[in-house]
Amino acid sequence: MSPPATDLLSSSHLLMVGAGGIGCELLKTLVIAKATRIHIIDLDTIDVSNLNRQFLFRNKHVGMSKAIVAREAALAFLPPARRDQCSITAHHANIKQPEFGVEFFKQFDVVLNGLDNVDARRHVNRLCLAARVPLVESGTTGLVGQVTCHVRGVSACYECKPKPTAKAYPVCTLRNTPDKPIHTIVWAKDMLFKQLFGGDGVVTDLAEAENNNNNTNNEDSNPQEEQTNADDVAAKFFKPEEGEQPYDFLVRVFRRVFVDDIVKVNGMDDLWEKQGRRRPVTLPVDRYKSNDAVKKTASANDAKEGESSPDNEVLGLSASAAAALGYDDDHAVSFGCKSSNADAKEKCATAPPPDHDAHVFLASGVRLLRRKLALASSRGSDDGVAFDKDDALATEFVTAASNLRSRCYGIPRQSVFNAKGMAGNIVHAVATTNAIVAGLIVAEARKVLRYVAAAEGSDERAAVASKLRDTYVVPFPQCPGSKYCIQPTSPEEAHAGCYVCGGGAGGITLSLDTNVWTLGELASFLKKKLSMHLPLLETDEAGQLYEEGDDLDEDEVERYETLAKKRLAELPGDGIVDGTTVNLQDLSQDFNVKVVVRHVADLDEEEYPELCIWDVEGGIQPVANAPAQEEAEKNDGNGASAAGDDDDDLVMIDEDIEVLTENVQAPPAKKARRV
Amino acid sequence: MADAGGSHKRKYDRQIRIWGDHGQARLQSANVCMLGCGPVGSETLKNLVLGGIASFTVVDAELVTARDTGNNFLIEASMLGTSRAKGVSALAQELNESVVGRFVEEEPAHVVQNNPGFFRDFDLVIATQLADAVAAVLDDVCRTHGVPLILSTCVGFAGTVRLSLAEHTVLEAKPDNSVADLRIARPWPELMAHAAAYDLSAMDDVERRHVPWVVLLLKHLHDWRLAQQPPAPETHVPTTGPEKRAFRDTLRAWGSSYVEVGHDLPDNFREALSNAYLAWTQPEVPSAAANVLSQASAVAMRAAASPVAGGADDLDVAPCVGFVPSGATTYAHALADVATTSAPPASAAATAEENFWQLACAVSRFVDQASGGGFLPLDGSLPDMTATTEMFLSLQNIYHAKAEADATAVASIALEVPRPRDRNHTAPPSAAACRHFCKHCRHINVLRWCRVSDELRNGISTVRAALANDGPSRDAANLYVLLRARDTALADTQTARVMREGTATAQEDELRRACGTVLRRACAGAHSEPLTEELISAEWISEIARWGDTEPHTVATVIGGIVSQEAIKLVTRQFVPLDGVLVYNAVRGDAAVLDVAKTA
Repeated sequence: MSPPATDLLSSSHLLMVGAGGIGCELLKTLVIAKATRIHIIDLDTIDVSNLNRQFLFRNKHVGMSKAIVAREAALAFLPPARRDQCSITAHHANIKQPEFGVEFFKQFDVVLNGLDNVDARRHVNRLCLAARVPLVESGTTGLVGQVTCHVRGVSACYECKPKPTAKAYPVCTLRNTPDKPIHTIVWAKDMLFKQLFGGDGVVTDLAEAENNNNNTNNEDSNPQEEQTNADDVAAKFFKPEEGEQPYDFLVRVFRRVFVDDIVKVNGMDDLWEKQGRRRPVTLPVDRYKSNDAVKKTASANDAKEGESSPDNEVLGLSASAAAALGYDDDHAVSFGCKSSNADAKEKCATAPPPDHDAHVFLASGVRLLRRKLALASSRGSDDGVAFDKDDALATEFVTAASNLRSRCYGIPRQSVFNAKGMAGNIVHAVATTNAIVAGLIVAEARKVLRYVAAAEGSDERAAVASKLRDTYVVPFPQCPGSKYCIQPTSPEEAHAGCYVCGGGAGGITLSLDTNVWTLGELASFLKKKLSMHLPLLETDEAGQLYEEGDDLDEDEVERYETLAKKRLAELPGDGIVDGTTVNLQDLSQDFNVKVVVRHVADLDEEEYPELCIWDVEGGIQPVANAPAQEEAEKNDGNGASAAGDDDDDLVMIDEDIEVLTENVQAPPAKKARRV
Repeated sequence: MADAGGSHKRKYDRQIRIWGDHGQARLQSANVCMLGCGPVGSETLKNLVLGGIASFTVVDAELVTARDTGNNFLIEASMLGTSRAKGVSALAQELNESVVGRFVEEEPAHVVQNNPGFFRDFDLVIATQLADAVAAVLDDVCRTHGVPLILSTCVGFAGTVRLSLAEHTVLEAKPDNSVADLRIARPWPELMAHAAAYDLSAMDDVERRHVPWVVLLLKHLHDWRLAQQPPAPETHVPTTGPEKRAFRDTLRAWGSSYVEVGHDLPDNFREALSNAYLAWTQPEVPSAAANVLSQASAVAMRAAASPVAGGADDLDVAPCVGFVPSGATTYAHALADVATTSAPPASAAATAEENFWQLACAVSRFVDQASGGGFLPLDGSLPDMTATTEMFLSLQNIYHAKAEADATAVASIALEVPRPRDRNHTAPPSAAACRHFCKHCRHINVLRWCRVSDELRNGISTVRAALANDGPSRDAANLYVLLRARDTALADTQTARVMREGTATAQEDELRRACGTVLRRACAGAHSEPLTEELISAEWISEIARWGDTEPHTVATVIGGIVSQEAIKLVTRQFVPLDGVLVYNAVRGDAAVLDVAKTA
């Protein structure tokens, strides 16, 4: 029971990654504990839904940088004398940017994570290992949370234990035979939304559905070329034609996805007859398309009159179209009508809810398209609109589209609240748990700092090392077999075969069809699977085959682009075939790993939605029910988002759905094996 | 203001996903009194204000000191020398414009002793750093008014949290891991018939691989019963180890008979195997629910006879109608804000909770009657499983229909249960409320806390075993006794001065003596061996003495988090709250719960 190491905290250099739910609590607690040198990184901006717990932010801060506002709020709280001694450096930036490399990390005594996604956590873990800086890691989900400590030579690194990853859904289920709400939601978000409102050149599986059906008789022609042409044709359909009105375009899309495509799928007899499935039905598009209120809402703009700049146009196109139509979401029934407006009530009485879905689809779709066009004209390039779970228009479009598709397939409808939870992988979050966890982080950080300060090999250092703890916060009284609600345990031991901290000892085997996969597909699969930032891929036989980075010259870019399109077996140096070892490197993370490729043909897509088998030798399987360890990759279309969003940790999406739909209606769940 | 509902839903979105709209509505109508606004009080207040309570009222007479500016997040340096209650209220108010903030510049102990009526209109009272004797009086006052109380103390690196109220019922316990109630061991006739209608031998391979595992288990159990010599009755299940093994083996063999040698079992059979234990799991009433049901009839009858439902307290406290504490200030603009947004919708959930005992009584009768057959009403949920859409939906319909029938039966029984006298004029619980109650009834719970005065008398003798044994609760028991002893030492002017101003050794001696006093008092009249201060670890004595009256911010953050979490459980009436005294030990970084707060 030695005295608290307050002095160490005030003389140490701290890096906080994330200024979200845990980050706000942590920054406050650190500042009060007299920490004097803090860097804080977060790429996120403040949203209204942060305000129930991220107490350094106010309504007036919505839209501003979390890191910068948090810094100002924390400094403002200090008395002037202390303010001068306290240096907080805020970075409104992605932790993955090159300036936050190994050298940057080396200046800190400890890194404190308050992140919301596994991807960024893995990135930070690798940099901490490379820079030999201890990491205190944390997460909360609802009423449970945890603080773990990762000190090289003492405990496991963050990646010693594999984390459960987000569930992948077979494309054919999503495209042809959905039978759960999540299937139609993923379809609406990852296929339809992205195809319609994504940037220039985006092609999703929605467009590919087209060429797969058309291509079956073209065995003679060059399949690769055909594919590309068919992709172009299909993708073109989902862009407005020259002079086409946005409203007409949305009606055309509606007819395509809820009538023509359904008829086509319905015609694939082998999907239905033997499988005991109910055939999908089409929707009466003509009934919905000429609703004046919908047209008016679609073309309305909430921007102030007389200011017609593109920026203003974008701002005006963020308000809910459903609300404008008087269709409130009451958490139980999607787009029910609770408005006190008499007109809206009247509308509600005459139009049954399925019409509401169609109306919202059209009105919000038009607004989103107009926003995309306005953004493109103000930016000069069409980067599209990314799905954001806190974007009212985006969530209601996805909800409406998914509900319409669910209607085709006899799947229960979802409220916007539920659909948003599923589409955005939203995690429950409350101030209380974050406060407890932040207190525990500081307590653990103090011990880690004493460890760092003690001489290497000293008794003092060994003594402190034995006091480090991983701590789990469990809501009373659900802790198994005990009445403890804060449970400290000795940190996990490092896993000798860990492919991150184990010195490349652990072998990874990837089984796939080397005659089908292209190098580009392999590279992007590995990049995502291994949470790499700038991967470099080579084989002993062929040397470098793939590389990402800003400093490549034109020749290299061209060469890699050509190679990326090739099938693995066709690559130079005998290709990547059965038994080839692929060396992967990411200099930005100081990370190396070898992957042995195995050739296997005809994998069942239903069983292996990723069309490959990923096997980490000696890898410990993720524990299904470990408290607060359920994490999943963030999958919100923003790509590699890093520091602290409002989701302080992530649970597996499946579990989330159970909770969310509990009060609505049991999902007609079944995961039938199908082709 | 028209959009307040919508913006509230966005602001509170992430927590509504934990406790639902009805939980949030409860929180938004809660008026909380906070006694003492040191670090723990302020941290608690911050969490509750962020969550969106209706109002808070801070009671504190201190003036801001330099120490406050160093350890209290809701104090700014510019507030030095001014009212701490005022300063904390102002900053807490800034955290959430929808919350009304008030403050009273008075000593909490003074208000407790002189104006007990002050506490009557709160929905929750939270008291921090209150002396034991004052806490006991406050507890009596709160119980008289039926207001729940949370007590919290923080001394250096140790802290305690304790709830106190006569009774708290929980309908939505929301356990983390709940096994679905599928009645495989005791199927009702429709479910039996549904399973019997499946003929696997007449199916093609694709269909057969999609027969839900629930059906496979039901059929296999039926066959197992018939295969016994002599055939077993419909209630019989495998009970011995060999029987269970044989059941699994024959189930596996059945599945294998449909696949080629060397191939894996179909998924549905694999699921059936891993859920085979459900074939011999009787749908028993869990003990917490059984405890509720066993007393439901008596409580419902008493409620019907007396105007105060479930009221066990009869302490006489003079009401102080219209008491306005000196110095009370309200933030008028925020008051208006709340008035338009805090009315909770009359939902089925709320009705079910209001009629908890009446419905529990109905469920209890249902279980005893032929309609229930000894089982609780079915909740009707069916987990995800390998199946075709049609098969899954038809099975789900069977479960839904049974759940609906059970809920209807409970609703009609509920009409026969006498209604509480104070609610005779309102409508009986709706069908939706009955359904809601039945859906959650497997995890219903009732908690009762003993009075603080009783705990002060009996608590230490309750933890004597933990003190003597080298178990996980030993440190917690040590700290518990030490905090009691410290309170005793501080209650006396003479010893209090030593505790505050004496040398380290003098402080430790005083504390050790006080330990002896409280331990001897605890065994006065008991037949067991007397307890002495020898039991208390010298190390902990010196730590507690050294810490004095510090409230380190890091510790306060954790304790404040726990206090606010328990407050939310009480207010939302969801999750099972803390039923003992939680002791947080920041040196070890753990928390243990001592079983000293339950009713005898």
